[in-house]
Amino acid sequence: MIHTENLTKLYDGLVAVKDLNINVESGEIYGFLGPNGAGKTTTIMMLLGIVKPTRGKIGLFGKELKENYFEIKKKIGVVSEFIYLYEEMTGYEYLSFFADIYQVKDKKKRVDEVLELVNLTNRKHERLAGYSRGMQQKISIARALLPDPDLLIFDEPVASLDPYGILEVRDIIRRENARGKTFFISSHHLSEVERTCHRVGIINRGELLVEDEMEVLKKRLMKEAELEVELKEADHEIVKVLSRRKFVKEITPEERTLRIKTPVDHDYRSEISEVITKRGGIILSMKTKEMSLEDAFVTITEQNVSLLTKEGEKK
Amino acid sequence: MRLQNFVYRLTVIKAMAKRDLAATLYGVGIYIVTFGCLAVSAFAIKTYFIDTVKEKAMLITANPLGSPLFLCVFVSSIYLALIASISISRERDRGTMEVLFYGPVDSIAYISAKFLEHLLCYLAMLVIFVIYFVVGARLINVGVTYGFLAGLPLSLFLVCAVISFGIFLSAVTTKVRTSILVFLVIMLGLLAIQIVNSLLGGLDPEKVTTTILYVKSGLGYLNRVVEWVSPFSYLNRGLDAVAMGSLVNYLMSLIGSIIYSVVLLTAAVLAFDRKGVRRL
Repeated sequence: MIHTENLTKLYDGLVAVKDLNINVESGEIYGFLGPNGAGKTTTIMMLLGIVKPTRGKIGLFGKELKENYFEIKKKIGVVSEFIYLYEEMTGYEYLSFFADIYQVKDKKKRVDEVLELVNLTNRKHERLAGYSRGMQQKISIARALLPDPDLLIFDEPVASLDPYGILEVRDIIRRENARGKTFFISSHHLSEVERTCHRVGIINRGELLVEDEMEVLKKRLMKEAELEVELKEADHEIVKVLSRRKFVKEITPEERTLRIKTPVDHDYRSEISEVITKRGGIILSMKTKEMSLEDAFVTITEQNVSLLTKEGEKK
Repeated sequence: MRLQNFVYRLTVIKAMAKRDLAATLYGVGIYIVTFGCLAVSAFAIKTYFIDTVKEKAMLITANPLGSPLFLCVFVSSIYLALIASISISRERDRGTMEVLFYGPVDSIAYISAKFLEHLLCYLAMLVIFVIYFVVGARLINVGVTYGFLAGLPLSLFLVCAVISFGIFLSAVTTKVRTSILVFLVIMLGLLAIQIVNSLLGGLDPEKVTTTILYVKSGLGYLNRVVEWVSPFSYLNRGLDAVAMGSLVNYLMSLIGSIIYSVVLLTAAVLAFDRKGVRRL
């Protein structure tokens, strides 16, 4: 669906995006992550043909944008980080205008449908200037959905929404994805990306650091597994015995709970369980603490920064 | 594919021009300017026509409504050039342009839509002017002459040149304030060149210093350039052709304004592509 090859953008010699190679498959939800100034928006703008790349190739729907501009653009819906609206128009007029631009068939019906989808039907005849920021964000989402596009590019889609609005957008993304729509979501809301995306790409200083499926990525980045074992009663002997085992890298007792760090090469739950039961301990629960995308993001960007620093020192 | 793109572009142009035209018609600016045009031409009719007839009991003129129509076209074209000169920069400044370009809109469609919108604005004004002059002619008992009728379609092409000039200025500037400033500086500059040139032209060559002669000669060349660059020069030439009843000059003026419009709109598309659509 989206394919880039050595996509690069330089602004007066400064690197905004460098040799970016991304692949977004049809029907997937792709999360594009990176700190501020990493090059996310520049990448999106290049994908849309708004910013011209310094070099590299972009393929959308297996075609080049330049040669198939109108055909491709009709199949893309975009929600940007910033909300720019014709504030003198009503919600209905605004969507009708874009329906004309996208040549939407059965305009009135479709406009009503998308207004219903974002829960703005009862506000459709009010001017956009009077909408709250969250409502303005929702009307932007409605605009993106209007032509029933195959590809939706969302840049910070939940930035201005309240928790209820975030839930609504999450529902829309899941529902549209279930209908076969592809999503390219750039966001700082890591938990949001974690909840909705199938694959993520992490970009920093214009370079794609990693691109993988969410679960694989988390496993790849985990250096050690962390287990949380809740016992019926605290027992110092169990702690002592466990700490002598080779696979236990670190153990932290907290009243009746033990936090145990082990290597990731093997699942050590049965070994731990055996030690505890042999010493007469009773396990109430045993949980594996999973690495969140937030942890992964911090780890990757920190690794990247330290790598760059080392490279700088070598030079 | 090309035909499909062409048809698609036309649809986009129509949708954008319709929205922009509605926004202009909902505003008060166009009505104030139209009323201003009518008031100025009414004043001209009273001063140069009614008062003269009252005073001398006779007025011989081939095209009595020519000058009032010229005033209407001139004032409305200045207004259109000004709003055209801020049309693109305003939308870039607001960020709404970027959103348009997320969709199937390209620079050619965008510039064409802006041009069409302003042209439609003028057409709306022209309809009012025609009604006003036809009714006025009956009231003051003068005929609607060939010169007047020939001036109407010509004014359309001349206004095209003026609008293209404004759109070009808007495409090369980024902020609304800059657009207005550039427009005013260029307009005043062109006007100053023409005024100073005509003032110096009236001086006796034997009574002026060598420096003034050089300045006069330099300004003469500059004025020739201005005659090709300024859209208002095309307007003047066209209206002169109508006044003189010269068909050749009339056609030359018409063709000239078409070429001028095409060149400036092409330059506007190129400048627009260089500037980009993002809010800066």
